[in-house]
Amino acid sequence: MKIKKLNINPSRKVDVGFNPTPITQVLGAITAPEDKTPIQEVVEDSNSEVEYNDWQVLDQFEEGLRQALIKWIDTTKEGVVVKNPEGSTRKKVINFYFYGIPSHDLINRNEIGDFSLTFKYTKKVISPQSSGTPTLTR
Amino acid sequence: MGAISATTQVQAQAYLTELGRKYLFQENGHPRFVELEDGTKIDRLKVERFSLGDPDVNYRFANQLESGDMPDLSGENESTITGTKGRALTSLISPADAFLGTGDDELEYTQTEDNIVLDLNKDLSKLPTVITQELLTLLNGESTLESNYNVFPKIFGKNEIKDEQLVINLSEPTATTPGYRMRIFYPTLGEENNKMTIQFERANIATTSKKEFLKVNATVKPIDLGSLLTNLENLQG
Repeated sequence: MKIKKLNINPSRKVDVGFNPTPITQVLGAITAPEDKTPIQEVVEDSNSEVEYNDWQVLDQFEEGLRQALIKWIDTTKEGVVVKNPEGSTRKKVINFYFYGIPSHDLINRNEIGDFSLTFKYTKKVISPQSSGTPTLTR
Repeated sequence: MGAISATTQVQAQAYLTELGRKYLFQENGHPRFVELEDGTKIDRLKVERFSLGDPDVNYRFANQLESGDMPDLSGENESTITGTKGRALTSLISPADAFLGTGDDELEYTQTEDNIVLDLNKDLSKLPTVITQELLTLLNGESTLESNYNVFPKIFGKNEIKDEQLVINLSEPTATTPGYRMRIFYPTLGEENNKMTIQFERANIATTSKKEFLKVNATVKPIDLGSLLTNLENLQG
């Protein structure tokens, strides 16, 4: 008997060459994180068959991921794949905003940090056919 | 309240209460600076609260004020009193130096990576698979540790943050091809209180018995699986 698919999730990694910024002062109480179990979806029947996705953090970027990201770029947030996307450069941007412990009720605009995460690709120009015009491809 | 139609500055006057004035002049029995039993020193004149009021004045009145002038409202002559009704005023004084500062510390939020761009046309070996973003609080220019950060958005399309992680599936694994996803770790408490991590993951589908599943994963990746060993013991028990 097959059961629902499980995920094996790897832990959070740290970027190569990451150096934490030295902190010189403290705001608020620092609390230890809760001990969370990566896999909490455990089945009861030990003889049942388990199908699981063995997720692992990639050590190196690979072509399959690149193609998956390109497809994701050309997919709307609602999950609709854009057919014949226009433009030679396509991109998808996630804008992040953050703030710490507010010292007052109203947070001023300049008291919000922000940064963006952008994925983009430019369609490559295929050499023109002898009688045709150049075409773009992923 | 009146509207300030065209200015970038705000003028205000502060009126001390009678008690405040006593502390200001350190009247007998009302010292400005006191020391508590635990050694804490208190400045009783330190302004910690204030209120705003509307005196219901003619808001065009300030237009007639220039630095160094003051309304001539003293005296008993009628000409001095009528000056307040839009008539020519003399000897005016303007509270030009009473611009309000914020009174707050200078707060700035920033991060170690400005804007992160993954150009998929680049050589694959030059694209990162793990990105660590450190959120920083600068209080008066000093990097300051905050116990937690609020980061938005917490939803992206159909993907919703769960356990401080936003998982965006890029492709599902099949029996023949691997799946890919992007996992974004939001800041949590403790050591990861100011870190965001964006990491790319790949999965293959595997099938086994639950017993083997627990056994293999408990022995191969005990660190990643955290308290799975405890769960396994409970199940076996």
